[in-house]
Amino acid sequence: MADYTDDDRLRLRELLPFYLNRTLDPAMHQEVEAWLAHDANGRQELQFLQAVTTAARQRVAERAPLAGYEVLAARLEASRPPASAWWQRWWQGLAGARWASVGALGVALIAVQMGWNVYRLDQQTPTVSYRGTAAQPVRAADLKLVVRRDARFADLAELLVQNRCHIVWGPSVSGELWIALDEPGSAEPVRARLAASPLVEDVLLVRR
Amino acid sequence: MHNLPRAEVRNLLNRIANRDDQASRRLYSVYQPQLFAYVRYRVWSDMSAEEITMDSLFIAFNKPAAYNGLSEFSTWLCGIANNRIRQWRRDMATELETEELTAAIADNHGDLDWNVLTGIEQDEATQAILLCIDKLPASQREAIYRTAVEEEGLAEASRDMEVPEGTLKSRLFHARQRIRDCLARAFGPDYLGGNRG
Repeated sequence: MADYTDDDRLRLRELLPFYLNRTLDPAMHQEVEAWLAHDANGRQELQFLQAVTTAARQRVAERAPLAGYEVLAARLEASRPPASAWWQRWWQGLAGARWASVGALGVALIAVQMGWNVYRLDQQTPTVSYRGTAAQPVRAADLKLVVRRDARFADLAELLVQNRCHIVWGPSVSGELWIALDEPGSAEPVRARLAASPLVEDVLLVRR
Repeated sequence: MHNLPRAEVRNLLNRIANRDDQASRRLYSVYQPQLFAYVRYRVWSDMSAEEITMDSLFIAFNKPAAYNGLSEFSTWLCGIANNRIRQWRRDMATELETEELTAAIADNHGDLDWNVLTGIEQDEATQAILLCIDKLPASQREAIYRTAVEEEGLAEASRDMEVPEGTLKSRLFHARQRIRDCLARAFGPDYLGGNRG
């Protein structure tokens, strides 16, 4: 049986709270255990300490997790400004976003726009849109035609189609038409054929 | 104290900032009982502890962005509570506590009869012990809280309380003696020495 001095006993008694919560290192734990086996008063003190510990823990264990929550929720609600409208929340969210993400969004929009532009350029048409009508490029006239006053338009149209002529300007107030040819190199023979027609008063070659 | 992962705490606080009631309930249910216990061992009335706990949680929930995640959320909460407790003590200004005084009153290292609770109903004994704990100086109450409730070891508790290990052991020893004396007074001298007729 080990003999314990008063100093030993005092040192061991001071370790009891840590013996009880099992935080002593194994050697000290064993030392306290050995002393308790030997000292009845030490065991009573440990029992008393257990009762104190149980009571101390009970104060925590009995506490309901949501005790008093409604009071806190009411205080929080009262301290906050009224809920904002959806567009205010949207704007706050946008304002709260980091500038990097705003910049990235801007770059993405510009990239989409540029891609769209390139796509549209690839689809370029030969026509020029002007107030909803397609304007054909004006070709230079090869011949100037003076039509007889009694010529019927239907007959004249047939004559022009036969000779592959297109009206590019006219008629003027004096009955002149400016004609372009599908084959500009054939201007002279076409002029001769047109001049021979009873519908035509005169045909002139247009000098370029 | 038991802590949620810091990322989860930050997430819950963000949701609380957006008035998410579920997030408030979740964070509250985890930390409220622990904070109440922490506060209760520093002030000696349930009502005051209730008030300080509620104020601390209100501050934390009302300005959720103030938590920077550098420490555990419980540490941050206890910091808020400590400020309120200091304020409360200044307002009360009733507690005398110096180590010298404590030692003078309870400097009895001889054999004492610890058999003061025999024959007393457990519920009654528990309530009596809690009343006696409330009468201890704040430094001794905190020592009991650290070791009995938080189950901290000698090194950890003395570090948290910023006192030498010898001082902590001495506080616990004196606290135990004071509780015993308090119970003996409460239940009468016949209860000492196992003489309970």
